[in-house]
Amino acid sequence: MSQANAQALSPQSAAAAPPRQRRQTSDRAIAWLFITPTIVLLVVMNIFPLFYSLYLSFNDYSVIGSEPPKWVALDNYEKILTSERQRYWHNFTVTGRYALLSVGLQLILGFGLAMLLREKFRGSGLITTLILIPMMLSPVVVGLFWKLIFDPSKGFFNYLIYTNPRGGAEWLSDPTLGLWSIVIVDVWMWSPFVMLLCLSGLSAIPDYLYEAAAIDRASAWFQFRRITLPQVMPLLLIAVLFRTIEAFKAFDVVMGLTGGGPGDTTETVAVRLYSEAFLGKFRTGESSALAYIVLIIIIAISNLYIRALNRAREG
Amino acid sequence: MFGIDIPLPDFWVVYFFIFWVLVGSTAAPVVFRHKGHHPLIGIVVGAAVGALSGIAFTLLLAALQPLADLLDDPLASILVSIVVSAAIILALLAFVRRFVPESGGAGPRAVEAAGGPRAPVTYSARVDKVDPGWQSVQALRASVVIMLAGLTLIPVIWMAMTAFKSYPDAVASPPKVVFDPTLEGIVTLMTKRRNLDSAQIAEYEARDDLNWADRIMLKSGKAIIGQSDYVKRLRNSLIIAGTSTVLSVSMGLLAAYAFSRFRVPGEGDLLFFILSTRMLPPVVVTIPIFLMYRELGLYDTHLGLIALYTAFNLSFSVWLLKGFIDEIPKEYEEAALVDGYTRLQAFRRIVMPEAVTGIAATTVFCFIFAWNEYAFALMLTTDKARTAPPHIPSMIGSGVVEWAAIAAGSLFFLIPVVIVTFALRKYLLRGVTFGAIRQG
Amino acid sequence: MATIELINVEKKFGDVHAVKPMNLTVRDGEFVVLLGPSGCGKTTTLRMISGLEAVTGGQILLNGRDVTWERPSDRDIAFVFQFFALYSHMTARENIAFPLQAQGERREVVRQRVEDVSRLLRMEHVLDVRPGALSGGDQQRVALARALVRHPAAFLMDEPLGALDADFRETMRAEIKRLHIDQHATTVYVTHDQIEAMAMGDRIVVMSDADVQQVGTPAEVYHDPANLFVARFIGSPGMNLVPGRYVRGVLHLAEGATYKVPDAWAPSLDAATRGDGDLILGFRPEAATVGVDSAIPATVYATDLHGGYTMLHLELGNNTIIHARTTREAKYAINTPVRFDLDPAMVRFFDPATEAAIIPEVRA
Repeated sequence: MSQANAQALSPQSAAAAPPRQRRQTSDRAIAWLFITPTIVLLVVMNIFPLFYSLYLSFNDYSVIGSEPPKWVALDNYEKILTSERQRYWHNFTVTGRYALLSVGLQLILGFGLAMLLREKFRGSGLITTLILIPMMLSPVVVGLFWKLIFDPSKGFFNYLIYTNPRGGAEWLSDPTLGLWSIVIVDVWMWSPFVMLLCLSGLSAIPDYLYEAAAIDRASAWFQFRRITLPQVMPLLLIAVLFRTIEAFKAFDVVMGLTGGGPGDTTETVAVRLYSEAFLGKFRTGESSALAYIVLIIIIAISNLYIRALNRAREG
Repeated sequence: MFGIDIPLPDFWVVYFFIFWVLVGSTAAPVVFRHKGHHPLIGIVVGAAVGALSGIAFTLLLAALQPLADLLDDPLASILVSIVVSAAIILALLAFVRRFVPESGGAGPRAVEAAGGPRAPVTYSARVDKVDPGWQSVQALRASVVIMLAGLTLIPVIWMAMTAFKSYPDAVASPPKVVFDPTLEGIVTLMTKRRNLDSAQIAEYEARDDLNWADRIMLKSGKAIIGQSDYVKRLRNSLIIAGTSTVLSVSMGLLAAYAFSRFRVPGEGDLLFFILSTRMLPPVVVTIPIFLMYRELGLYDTHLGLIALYTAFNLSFSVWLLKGFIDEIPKEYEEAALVDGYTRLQAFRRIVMPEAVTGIAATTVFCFIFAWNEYAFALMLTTDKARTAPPHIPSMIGSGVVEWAAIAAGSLFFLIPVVIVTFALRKYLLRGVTFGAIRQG
Repeated sequence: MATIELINVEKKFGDVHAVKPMNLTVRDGEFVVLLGPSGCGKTTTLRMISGLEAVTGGQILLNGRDVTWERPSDRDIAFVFQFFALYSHMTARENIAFPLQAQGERREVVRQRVEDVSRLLRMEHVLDVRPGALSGGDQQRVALARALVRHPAAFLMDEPLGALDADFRETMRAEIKRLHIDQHATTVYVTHDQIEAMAMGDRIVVMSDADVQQVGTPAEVYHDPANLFVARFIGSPGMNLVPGRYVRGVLHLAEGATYKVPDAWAPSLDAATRGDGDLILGFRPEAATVGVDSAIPATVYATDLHGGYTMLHLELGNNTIIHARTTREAKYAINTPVRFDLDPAMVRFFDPATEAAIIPEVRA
């Protein structure tokens, strides 16, 4: 209300105060008219479920059971975080390892590609777009055709790694290679994203900085270390945060590729959540608690991410 | 069909052969032009140098084979061969640069000062970027990028190829690079079939009401008995993605306009709230939504998925569109308001036409997200409203894996995405960062 | 310290000349200003000297050494950019230290030199601030300090004051001039502001249309412009240029007005026109004196008070407006007929066909 008043009292409206006032109120009405549907839908589809989920996380409940929800307070959280920690801890380490490896490799490859593509040449636009294709593909479909590629006898991946395949590695059914194959696919798919961010960061560095550095007798390496790297750093940070959030949500590619297997060696938190909630015993209460723990982690990273985005937008 | 039947050749030999020839034939002409020769000579010499390095790579790979067997690590032999052959080509190029004579008869240098380029520099360039050494490095860089892009696209190309393989070709070991293309996979994808015994095959072959699809299936002893589920799934995908896109873009446009043009109390918090809904992992929201939908009878319905996708894309479309609308100068509308337009008229006649590219880009992004979405569809549908993404993996489940059909299914699914990537290339960065960062 | 020589240096973009072949020698310790309107090729010339732009033809010598195809970093020159080109992610101190660190100077040396130069520029208090938080003047000081800290052979400055507010400009102009006198460093300075050029330059190179129009001291380009372009461009307002027909010692201006040319000029003008031909008379506003029984009639078109003096806009007929300076107290009503005289030592003549100045055989 105070804001509306402040605007109505702005200097040029002194003479035209009455119509201005009317315009102001109708503007407010329009603003609310325009925003409300969005807010309502988001509340219904996101906020309500979140609270419902919070409620469920304090209950012992299964959607396929005939029992109504039974209030158990913090038991579910206690189970996940302390008494049965072993069962879930594994999923968090898998997710963490997966996030670390894939985000790290994506940063190196994406930044490297951006440095290569930085100087334009004939056809570089086309090449850039071609490299970006994987990022736009459906993750589950990507997982699926990589499954064929990783196949030890029918897929070609082993033929690329081994010049003379003797048996070849069982990428998807080997406990260590399983995670690596997901990392490889994730890197293939998302390095272009990092590249895109870095390219925009690089193109935003004004030429005159490099001209000044050339005059100042800085070597190429010195220029890279003292100008290029610090200048793209904000965008690298955005890329890291975004990819880390996505790693915690990793579901589609894993489902398409390994389904969490072999055993549970590639079972990320999101996959575990799915199997707890929708497979086997349908442990709705417990999985809601797990969901909340994941949510808190993601909210923490998102906060950093959105702050970084806002800074990028302003600067 | 053509009787071609070649298994996967030694990939890296071919790859690096092409690579080195590309490097040689782009880097050498720079030197030759600088020394006053025709660049064509440079291309020929460079290609020869590249071929030489390619042969060196091949020989080295073969020579290192026993070592690789011994160490049980063939990857090392590839890496060694790459490094050595790279050193060879660089040394050869340096040799060419050092020892190719200056062309005598080509007339005096355009530039008197020593060390300058042969042709006068009639474009804007820094002195050190006119240097042939620097330019050869640029040529090298471009070659590396081209080859890396090729490597990146191999999985997609492989999938496209698999879609046109026959069943035996698709599962051949070692995999085939050259094969008889057939539409078998695509027909398999689209149809339900039953197996025929030899008597039935003969009977079918005698019939003359068979179309091309029937004939293709008949070759592998099957008869088409109807349309497959895939067609239905694809139709569901189209309906659900299309409707939710229209809804989320139109609602998003209104909200974005309001956020961009009016003082909304708590605007920052609302926008943050809107964005944060996008950050939720789908799996977290799905449990309560599942329960909710079951109560409301929305489980496995188009409406249910449409509502969910609309909400899911709404945060994205608000943020992206707000960025686009912020770019339209406020003065346009203010002028219209002074001229007696109402807010709504100004919005329709001024803002919408100005924001049309932004709206188009947002629409396409929303569509792609909904089109690609897997988790919600997997958990909230079973059959009636099931979309293609959860369906394609489920095709693996039953018995013989029809890889060609799966590849064909994926291919149909990916084609729109590839087209869109090209159409949206200017806006990709904006799209993936919620409009926060613009491409330079 | 250094000399800079340009020998037939030219730059083409496609078929268009950005700089036509030009020759210039900058002596050791000299402050040379490249002056011209935007797009005249002055910045391109400066960038060619620095190596940021490759020449299309010609040679550049630095201390007699051919540096035409040497990298910018091998030329031992410093460059001050128009918009300062400061590294936005570094503090002022880091910016100034950058050229020293790039050469791997020892930490203590870097520290000492940064402190010395910042004391010289009186900017110690801003050393730990990033450029974004600095005022334009302080950013300029950082840019100058970064150039000075390396003790380069020559300074190149591309409109270093162009991005500053008007009142800051005066201060910085004095600072740069003072710095040049203290350091006695060879400097090439680009500007489009002729007042700046006159105030700072030992010599001015006036450029237009990719070509050098005149090279001379500020007094030379002001008083003896080589052609009509220089005459119009230098001074504010520029030289008054009045076309007329010269017949044996008398210039016939519009509407019957005549001007008897000074005797000293008559032989040169006779020679130039073979006794009878078109000429352009040029004189600075301060050369005209309004008086009751003066020679040339005119009408007052407008008057502006410029603080210390009054600028009269006089209409000569034929829509020619000339400017004349009078005292602060002088008051003239608009449309009053007046008459004025010209200081015979301060008139110049130009050939309308070639636009070049006519050079007197014997200066009066």
